[in-house]
Amino acid sequence: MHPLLDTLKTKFPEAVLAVQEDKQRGDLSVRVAAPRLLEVARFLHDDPVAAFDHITDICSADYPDDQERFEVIYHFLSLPHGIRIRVKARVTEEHPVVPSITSVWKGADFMEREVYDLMGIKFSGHPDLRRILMPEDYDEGHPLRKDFPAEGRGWRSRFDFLPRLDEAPVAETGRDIPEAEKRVFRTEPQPSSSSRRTEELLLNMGPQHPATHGVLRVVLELDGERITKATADLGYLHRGVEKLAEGLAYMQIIPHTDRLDYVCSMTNNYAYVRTVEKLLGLTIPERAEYIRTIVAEMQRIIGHLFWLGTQALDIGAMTVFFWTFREREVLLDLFEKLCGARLTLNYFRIGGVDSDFTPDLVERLRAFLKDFPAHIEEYETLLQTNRIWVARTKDVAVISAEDAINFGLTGPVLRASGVAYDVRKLEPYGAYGKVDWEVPIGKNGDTYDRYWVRMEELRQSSRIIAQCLDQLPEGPIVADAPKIIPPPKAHVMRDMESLIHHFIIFTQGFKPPKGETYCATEAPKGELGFFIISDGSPRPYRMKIRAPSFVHMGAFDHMARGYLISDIVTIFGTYDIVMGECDR
Amino acid sequence: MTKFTAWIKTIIFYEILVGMKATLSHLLHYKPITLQYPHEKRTLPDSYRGMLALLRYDDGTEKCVGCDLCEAACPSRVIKVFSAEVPGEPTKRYAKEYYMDMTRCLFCGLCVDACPVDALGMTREFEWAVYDKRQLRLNKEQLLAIGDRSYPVREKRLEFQHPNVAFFNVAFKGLPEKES
Amino acid sequence: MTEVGIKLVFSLTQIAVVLGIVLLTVMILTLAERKVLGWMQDRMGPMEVGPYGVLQPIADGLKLFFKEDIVPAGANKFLFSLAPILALVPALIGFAVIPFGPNKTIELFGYQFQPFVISDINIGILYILAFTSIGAYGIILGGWASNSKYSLLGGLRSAAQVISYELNVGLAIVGVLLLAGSLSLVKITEAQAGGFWHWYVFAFPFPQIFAFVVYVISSVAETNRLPFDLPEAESELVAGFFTEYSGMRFAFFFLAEYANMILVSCIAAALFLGGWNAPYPGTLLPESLAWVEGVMWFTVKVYFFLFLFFWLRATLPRLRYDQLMRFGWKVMLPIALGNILVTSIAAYLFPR
Repeated sequence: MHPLLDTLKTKFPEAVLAVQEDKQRGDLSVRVAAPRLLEVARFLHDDPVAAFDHITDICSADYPDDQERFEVIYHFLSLPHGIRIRVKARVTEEHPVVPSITSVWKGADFMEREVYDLMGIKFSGHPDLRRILMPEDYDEGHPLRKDFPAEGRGWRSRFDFLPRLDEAPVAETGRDIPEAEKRVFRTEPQPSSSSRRTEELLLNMGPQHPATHGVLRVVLELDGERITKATADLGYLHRGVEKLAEGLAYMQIIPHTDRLDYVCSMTNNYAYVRTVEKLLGLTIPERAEYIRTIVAEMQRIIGHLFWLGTQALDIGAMTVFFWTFREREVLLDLFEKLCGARLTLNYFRIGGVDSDFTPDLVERLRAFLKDFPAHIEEYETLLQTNRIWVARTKDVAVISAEDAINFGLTGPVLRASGVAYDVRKLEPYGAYGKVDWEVPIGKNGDTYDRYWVRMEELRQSSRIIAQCLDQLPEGPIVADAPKIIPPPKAHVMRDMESLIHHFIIFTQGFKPPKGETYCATEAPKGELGFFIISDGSPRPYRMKIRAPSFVHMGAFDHMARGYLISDIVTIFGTYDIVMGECDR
Repeated sequence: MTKFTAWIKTIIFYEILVGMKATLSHLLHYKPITLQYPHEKRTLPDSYRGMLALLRYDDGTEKCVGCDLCEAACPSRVIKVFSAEVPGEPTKRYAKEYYMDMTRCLFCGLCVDACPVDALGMTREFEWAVYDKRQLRLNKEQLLAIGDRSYPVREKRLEFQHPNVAFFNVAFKGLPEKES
Repeated sequence: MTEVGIKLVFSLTQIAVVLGIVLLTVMILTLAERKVLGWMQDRMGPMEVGPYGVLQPIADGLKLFFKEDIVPAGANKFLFSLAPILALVPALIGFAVIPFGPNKTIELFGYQFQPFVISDINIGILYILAFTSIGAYGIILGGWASNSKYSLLGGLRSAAQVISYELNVGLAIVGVLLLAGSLSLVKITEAQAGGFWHWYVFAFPFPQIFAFVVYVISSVAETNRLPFDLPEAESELVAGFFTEYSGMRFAFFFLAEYANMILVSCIAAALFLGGWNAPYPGTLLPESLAWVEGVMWFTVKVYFFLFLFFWLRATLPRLRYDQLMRFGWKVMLPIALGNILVTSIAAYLFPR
């Protein structure tokens, strides 16, 4: 047993109900009594033995048949020790209350709101427990509960998407928003010393706004142009992927993950497929591992180019946008050649990849990598030292390392604050352990450092790809597991045995063992994690997506306060936020 | 000294001039990457995952045997198959009706992967904008028409084919032997 | 009576021609801007209307003309309608004192006319400064009257920006005025004849290079162009003060912006780059055709500035509000003031 679990058991004999170590998957999990969660959490955060300073995710599961129906599942990461822990607490349906851990991890704010919204578990002591992904006036229940139908409930589920011409349009209600509804977006009133009346301006930014990168709405409370409070209103793109996944076979979920972070679908595929493979205990052929690494890094380059273009466009440098899209196009063409699509790739398969690299593709990729450093320098001539760019990004949206960890930030946003956390280094997967590369680290945690970190990552990615191409081994691209992976098409059409396997896998799917696992992957935006609970059936019992964009939005108010309206667009850009992933 | 050069660079707007040089060089070496889309079109790769189509054998009979595997494999319930026995031939089945609701299609290609007789294929068609969404609910005749249009020549060499593209008449072609 | 009549007819013709040329230039500019930006960004710009998209401005104009003119609910209708006019008229009115070609007189029906300047008034430059400041009201009122928070913020930004940078424009040209000893644009241009070393950018006793840089930067700011396009910043304020405008009212703002660009380019050419004067002494063409050469050089200079506007837009990101203010008051203003001081001393030590 892991020493930490022993410590926990001896330290909290009543609070800790059970401990478990999953040796095969390397997961630690602890079951605690819900009312005493906070003290265990505080110990885990503060004690140097544990030092779980980084909150990864909060998830919930519904077991309608159990006496304690709901389970809240916390994932913490200890950056000093490099270990993860899963803390679980059960609550009953009648009294679904868990103490809030926002006082320990600030990042828990949005995550707890999500659990409240989708599962209906209340968090005592949470500062602002409102719905977050569903509309605030939604009173049809909590969608992730098992008794909630997957096709939805409420007028929105009956919405007729084809407009009917014979019906009169809905009458416009030109009402003003009542003050009570506006209060959520205002800061706490400060005791005023003078008798002069001042009123802050509430500015509604989004969901239709050129700089919000999708359908994000932010309500800004402004003092002049200075922001006193920024309230993010998410969920305009909420599609219920997690709920959908509960009704789909494991294989069918892959195309749905394409639509999470639609700018970087390879990495989403990768993250999901890795989780399922971890659940199954499947090993992948070496060539497939290399191909996966290469395409994931190509996708990282694409994602970062997209980020650079849009960030520069938000700040007003239009040309960089078009130049970055020029290179992005080359890579997208390669993807198209590889798997027939440009954005929603659906390239990964459980146990391998869809199609093999052809020599022509490798040649084209090499040619791209040869020119790419020159292109990076080209972008930098317009930005790196440009005094306006520097002025717009230096010391804007600064976040200290402690805060960044406490908010659970990951990826370039965390690394720019000087924390060397990269899943690819901490838990090497794919071919990352076999090639030589570095993790760029920033110093100040401002927008310029995040820009710099991403620019360096572009170079590192092309380095990784070049090495992987040199080392690319020969061999199969799909694992040999006839129970899980459909046989090759040519065999299906020839012999009966393969055909039967094919039929069984496509109709019933495969049945992973009962269990649960969390697996993190380094996406361009940050740590993209999938948490899957399997009940032994061909469909996941619960799938939780730990979306970096969502977690980053939790720190938005913290990072935006005190800056100007112009900086808001910089902060959107610097998060590299994609709403498809944020709202899921 | 470096401080002095830095100062000089500041007052002559050095880095802005360098940036302007970069943009100007693009103006002088004008190489547009735009494609004038409706007038010019990209050549799509063979493996392109475009509009779905039902395919036929050489003699014009439909390949589809109505096995429902595509329906089972589809992650967003696009496909609806009603299978029936071929009249007069009780051992053979075919798809009596076959519907695809293309408004929901993810173009993931799982149905093509699933089809055991390669009756489904993904074509290079993608210009399917319509004024009424209801027109995107395709029936068997429409899907077969797309197939006829996209694959006028049904003979294709297996080794050139991409896994995403349907194999044509594989049962009659020299197949690689299954290793024991 | 006949004298007044003939002069009136001549002036009206002149005004019509100048206005026509300005509006034509605006049309060319809208196309040229999109083309130049496109080429710098590895794309083609407009290509659909006419061969290589040359008829695009006409299509744009027609579209704007036929678009529905929307007045938002809660807007102040009078000011909302007034604002575009207030923006456009001062931008066009400034062209009255710009000398487009050599200062020569022709005789028509026994009367003397200056064909290349509508009205050579002796306070020309002051007149332009006075009227362009009125243009700011159009923007501020437009922003305020729209009853939109974005427009309001755009209008407020514009107010602050125009005031700060107008000051710098005014101070930057004082040096030139000191050297020329006149406020008339015709006289100032004439004083720069005889080769590019006589242009005030390079001129003895004190080259106005700093004033020139201050003027160019400030005029970019004054016309609300990138990197100083904060009042309209499309990624922050979604077009700022004209968010709510559509149709012809929008077109007026659009025209005003481009007319302003042409105007400041004309002033820059006339004050600092010798106006119609060629960069070499005298003219190459015979005396009777010298005006062709003059007009040509003036056009070249103006278009150089207009190209500079596009070029900057393609290269630079946008400044932030507080940085803009700091730059205007703490960098541009001291330089402009210092330039006046040094130029005055130089002009005193080396009187002409």
